[in-house]
Amino acid sequence: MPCNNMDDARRQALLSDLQAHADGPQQRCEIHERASGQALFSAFAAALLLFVGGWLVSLPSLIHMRSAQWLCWVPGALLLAAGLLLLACAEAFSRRNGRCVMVLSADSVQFANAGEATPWACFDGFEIDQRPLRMALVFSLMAGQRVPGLAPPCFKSLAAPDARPVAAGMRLRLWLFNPMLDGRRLDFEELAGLLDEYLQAAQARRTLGKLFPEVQRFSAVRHSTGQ
Amino acid sequence: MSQPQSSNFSGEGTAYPRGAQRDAVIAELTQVIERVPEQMEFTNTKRYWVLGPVLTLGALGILWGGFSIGKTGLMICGGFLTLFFLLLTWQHRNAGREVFMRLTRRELQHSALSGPIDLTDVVDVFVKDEGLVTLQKLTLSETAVLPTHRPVSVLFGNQVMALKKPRPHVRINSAGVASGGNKLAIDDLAALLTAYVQAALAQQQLDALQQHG
Repeated sequence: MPCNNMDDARRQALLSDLQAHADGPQQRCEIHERASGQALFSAFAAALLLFVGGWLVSLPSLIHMRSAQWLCWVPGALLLAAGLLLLACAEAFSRRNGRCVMVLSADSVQFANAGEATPWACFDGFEIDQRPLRMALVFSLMAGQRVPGLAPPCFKSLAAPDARPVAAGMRLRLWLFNPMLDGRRLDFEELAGLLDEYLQAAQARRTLGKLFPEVQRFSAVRHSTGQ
Repeated sequence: MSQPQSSNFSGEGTAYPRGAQRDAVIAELTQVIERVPEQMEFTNTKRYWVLGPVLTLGALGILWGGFSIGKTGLMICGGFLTLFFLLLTWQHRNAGREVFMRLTRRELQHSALSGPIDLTDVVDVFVKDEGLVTLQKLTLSETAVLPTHRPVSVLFGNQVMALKKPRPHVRINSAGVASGGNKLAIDDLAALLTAYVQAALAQQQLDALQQHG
């Protein structure tokens, strides 16, 4: 083992460092999605497009146009199609609003479309990417780990904040508009900090269990007796 | 995490792990190898198959505008663009169906390369979306044997270049990359390539270990 030839001082320093990290957050956090603004905006834009499209389609009969009627019909039909598409998006976003994206607990994370919770030990890191309209969240999995029981997402996760495995199951990708914790919007730095606390604590506990099994057993007893 | 002390066993005179440590090393190497599927096939996306007809319609609009206004310059421009986009659409009629790249746990095969590339020679992976095409650049070690590439006469097609200077590297261009009908994002593709390179290195170490075991 690598710790056999480690001198006592370094061993102590590593142990206290790991123990400090292992006492991570213990409470359960539910991160919800807020998409009401996006749903309202797309419904408004859809209404506008449908109105203009309908007006264009009916224009030839309104002004008794004889020839070149397609000049009104073609753009009108395109606008109507775009409006219907946006209306469907608005409906999907209104279903998405208020859904639970992730439930974070000390040991595991539960995704919206997962059958069971995934232990933090499955992940070796995550990335958050703030895009113009949405926030993309990518978890990368450790070698030899799989996320259990993910239901396939439908319609590009528009109607529900579903996670989907990408790159042959090595990464897990999801996107969200506004992550909400207890009715407050988290910006991406806060969300990254929150996830990082949970992940670091879990990784420190795992390392502790590998390098100092006797200490880890002791701290598990301490946690279960609530001290 | 602590790194395994003997991370490279291929050199002469290195101490090979024995007993329980050997089993642990083999288990870890197997995990890294089995992280990726045995073989993955990659196609390009249907980007130009969809975009081509739309652009052709636009070019036809320009041509029609040239005829109705009566300007020769606009007519020539519209005609040229129409021909160009028609050619583009026709060349991409099989987009998303032809496999151009295969990754196995040991090598990378490309349809326009004379031979496979050994993934253990790869020292750096760089993937970039260049707008019209996606670039995958694999930097190889100085001692690697480079295959030769043949030209592909398709606009924005699945091209590859094996170049010696400034360092041996392979540039793979394609109109997006998809696997199993799903488009791959840039960073997912980079993660996948890196994982395959790691799997190839792990396979090499496992072979060396089992030869001496």
